Amino acid sequence: MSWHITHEIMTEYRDGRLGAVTADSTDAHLIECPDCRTLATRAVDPLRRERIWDEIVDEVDQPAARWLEKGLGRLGVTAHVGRLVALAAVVRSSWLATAAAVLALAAFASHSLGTITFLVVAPLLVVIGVAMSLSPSGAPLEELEVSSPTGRLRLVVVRSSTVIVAVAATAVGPALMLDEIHAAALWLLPAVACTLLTLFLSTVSKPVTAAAVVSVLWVAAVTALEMSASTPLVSFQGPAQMVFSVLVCGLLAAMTLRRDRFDQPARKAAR
Amino acid sequence: MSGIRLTGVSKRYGRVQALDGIDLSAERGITGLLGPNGAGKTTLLRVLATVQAPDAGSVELLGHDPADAEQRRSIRRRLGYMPQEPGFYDNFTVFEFVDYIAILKQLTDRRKRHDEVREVLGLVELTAEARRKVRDLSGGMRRRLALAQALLDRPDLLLLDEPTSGLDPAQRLRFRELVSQLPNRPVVLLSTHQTEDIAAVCERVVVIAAGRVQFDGAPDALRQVAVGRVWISDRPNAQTLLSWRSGDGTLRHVGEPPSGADLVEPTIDDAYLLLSGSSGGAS
Repeated sequence: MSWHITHEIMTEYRDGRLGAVTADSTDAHLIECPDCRTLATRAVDPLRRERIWDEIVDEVDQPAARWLEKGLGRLGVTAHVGRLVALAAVVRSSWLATAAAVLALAAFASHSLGTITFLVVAPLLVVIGVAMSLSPSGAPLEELEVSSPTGRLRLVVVRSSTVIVAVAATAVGPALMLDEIHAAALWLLPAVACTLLTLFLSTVSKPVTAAAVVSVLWVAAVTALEMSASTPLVSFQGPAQMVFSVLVCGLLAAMTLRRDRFDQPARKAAR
Repeated sequence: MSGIRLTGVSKRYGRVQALDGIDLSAERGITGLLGPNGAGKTTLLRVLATVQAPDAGSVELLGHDPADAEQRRSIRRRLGYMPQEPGFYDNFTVFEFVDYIAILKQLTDRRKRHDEVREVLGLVELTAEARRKVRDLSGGMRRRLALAQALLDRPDLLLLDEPTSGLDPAQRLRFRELVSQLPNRPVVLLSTHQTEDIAAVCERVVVIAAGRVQFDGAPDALRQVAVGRVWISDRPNAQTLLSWRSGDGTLRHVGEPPSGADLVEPTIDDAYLLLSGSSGGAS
């Protein structure tokens, strides 16, 4: 190396005042020349150097944000909550693809069996998703989550909300295939009620059992109502939505009373 | 801050009495919980980790009552817990895993949280593995990863369930060095079946068998329990509680004196075998 960086160039380089060509060749020279690197190190304020280094290390360590986290960030959701949402078991593409396929099938079947097929299936998917995000295989860190100051109740709420939003987002496409497109969102409130009932029952039984009970109750109740009524969709329209609202309020109150139960792991412990 | 205080703590799972009237208190320093499998060590640590409420008895942790939701949260902010089987999201990288637990511990400032994550990974020598997936780690590395998350944010109460199982001898030595030199000197309770761990790092040892405290005192005091009850001979004897052939070919007996045997100095192992054997809980 026949030349070294002069004091003037170094000062301008440090202050970011060098032209692009000279700055590039200075960069290239610094990579090759340890003497000039030492000079550059001395030229920069140590605090600034430390801060830049910290930022680089942090950037390298920062786990790659998933597409969902980025999207939530844009909606104003804080990064740590975004991460909790992204970790819900249902946010895996395999689960979402299955849900989309099932909803598409239900929407397709609704042409011959009626819109009711789609409206019954969507809450069932939510219930299954919630049970998955509560069970140890979907939430393997249960003990650590329970013993954290965040608490399991908050995680359960974050995950269940994620499930509902994920199924709703997945349902948009299939809903466009429905004949009665105005009825496409009528499953939402029942899905919230079914979710709360599943969560409530999961405080006394395994999440999978709770989900199975709720699913059977849901299908049986809708079938019985639809068969006994003369107009279709009676279990979703008008007064039925009022009943679901009352049910949601009641279940929220019951959940509040039993919130302490979420502070313990769902599965039975080993000794 | 104050340490931990348990009075008459009992816990039953179905027909199994996991804890049976445990009285235990501890201040800053390392207390070892020694006992056979199924003795109730894990249940005790889960009660201390506020994961499991006892059926009976009173518990006070760091001056708070875990039965009260608000006080329980105060305890959890100062708690580090390494469960026996923490469970992992296998898709996580090492860094992501510890970062996730740090989020749960409410370290919400990203920069500070990441500094903390780097620090604990450095403590357990996993810095070089930070970007590896958890599913690609060896058993020993997973144990160290579980330990790393427990050390986040310098807890005042550190609960370690079998922290040295799966570690090789060098890693075990490193663990002892690490846990005995924690700068804020927390209340540490560690469960183990390794009497060497107890002798090496614990200021105090609590022997648990069948859900009860069988011994509580200094490691040397535990050794004293077996003074006058350990013998060697060159012939087997059916009357002793336990006997085995040691490396030099002689038979070592713990319990009643066999005929023609010589009394020897006991080890912590001997005392532990005597206590857990006589309680009927040896395995």
